[in-house]
Amino acid sequence: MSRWIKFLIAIGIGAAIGLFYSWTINPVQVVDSTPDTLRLDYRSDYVLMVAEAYQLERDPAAAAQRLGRLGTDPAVLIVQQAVVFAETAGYTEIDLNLLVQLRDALQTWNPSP
Amino acid sequence: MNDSRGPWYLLTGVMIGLALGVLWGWYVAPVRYTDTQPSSLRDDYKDEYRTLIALAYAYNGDPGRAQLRLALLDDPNAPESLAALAQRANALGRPAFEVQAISQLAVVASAPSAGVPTAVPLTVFPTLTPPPAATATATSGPETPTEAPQSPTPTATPPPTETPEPTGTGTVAPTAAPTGTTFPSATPQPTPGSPFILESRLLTCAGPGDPLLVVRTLDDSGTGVPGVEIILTWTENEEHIFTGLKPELGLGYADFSMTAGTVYTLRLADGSQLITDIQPEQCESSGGQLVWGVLELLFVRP
Repeated sequence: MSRWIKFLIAIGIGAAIGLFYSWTINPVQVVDSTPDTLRLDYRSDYVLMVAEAYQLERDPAAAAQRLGRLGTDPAVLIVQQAVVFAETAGYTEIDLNLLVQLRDALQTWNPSP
Repeated sequence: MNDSRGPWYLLTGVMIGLALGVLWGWYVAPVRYTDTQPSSLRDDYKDEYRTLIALAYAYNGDPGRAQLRLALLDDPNAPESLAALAQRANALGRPAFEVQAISQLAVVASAPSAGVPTAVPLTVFPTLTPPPAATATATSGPETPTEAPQSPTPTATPPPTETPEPTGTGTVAPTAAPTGTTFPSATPQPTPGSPFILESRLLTCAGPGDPLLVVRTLDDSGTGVPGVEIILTWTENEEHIFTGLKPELGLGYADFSMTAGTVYTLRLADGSQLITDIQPEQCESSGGQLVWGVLELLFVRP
């Protein structure tokens, strides 16, 4: 076997060790994450909390601002995703209604320019 | 290559490959976390999360659900964190109901889980299953990591019944299936009672220090009432303080440092009587010294 081939194999072995170290042994650690990275069930519960807060405040702008933490999608779409999850995950009727009410409120809400 | 150099070239190759691998793994395609837990949120987002929990609790009045949500943040000092958050919110001029909600939640957080009253029907609430560790996915595109590489420190113990889901393309993974965990259902918050009445006004000599005004609010059973908004006015100033922000001193406790020579008026936001002529008073301590006293107003809700 040519020395060049052995050399390239050695590089490959080193790279594999390096990747194993950086992906498995000492990966970039998840700290200081943002709400948009939350797992879908946590996201849905976050949206539910926004919906519960909305019942107190009746302020679509505040709700939309909070939902903006969950990503760049439109707020209505974020709530709709939570509604879909809530339906499949078996949320109570009360919680489902809260989500639907928030979604409907955001659908008719026109943010001021 | 010259054979006379020996096998060192192999070690050189391994080192080059190692460096390339680490660079690739940390900078070009670092482990990318999706499906994270609330406990990994940045501190300011945790505060927003706590505020949301508080507002949700103010709406549904369900302490069990509030405690479960708080547990997701994995904060061993939740009552203190909430009390501090309420004080910051008050200082920032956040709406009074928000400050009250946070201080109410601080009380819930300081109550033992088993002792939280759950006199509501239990229904199935499917989310908030115990958190597994975040799913790690190696991305393929260029990306700059924002967090410094650190030693891996697992933050949660995955439950035995749940396994991380593969997220080969880096998208958000499907969620855990409903587990049927029982949680108290949402219930309307009890309506507030009648206005507080000033029960006593007492001056005590506590020792050297600034003149202090202490307000305590109790319900008809003698239990401290947190989250009561107190409005203090003097000359052309106004300040709002809340009971319960120092839970270690009592749920119905609030205090305010007065300025010598200033006369204050006080009322509770729920429409209690107006208390006038509140001003720092001096008294003689046990050592015979003249010191500023602590003026304590006790309000009771009949």
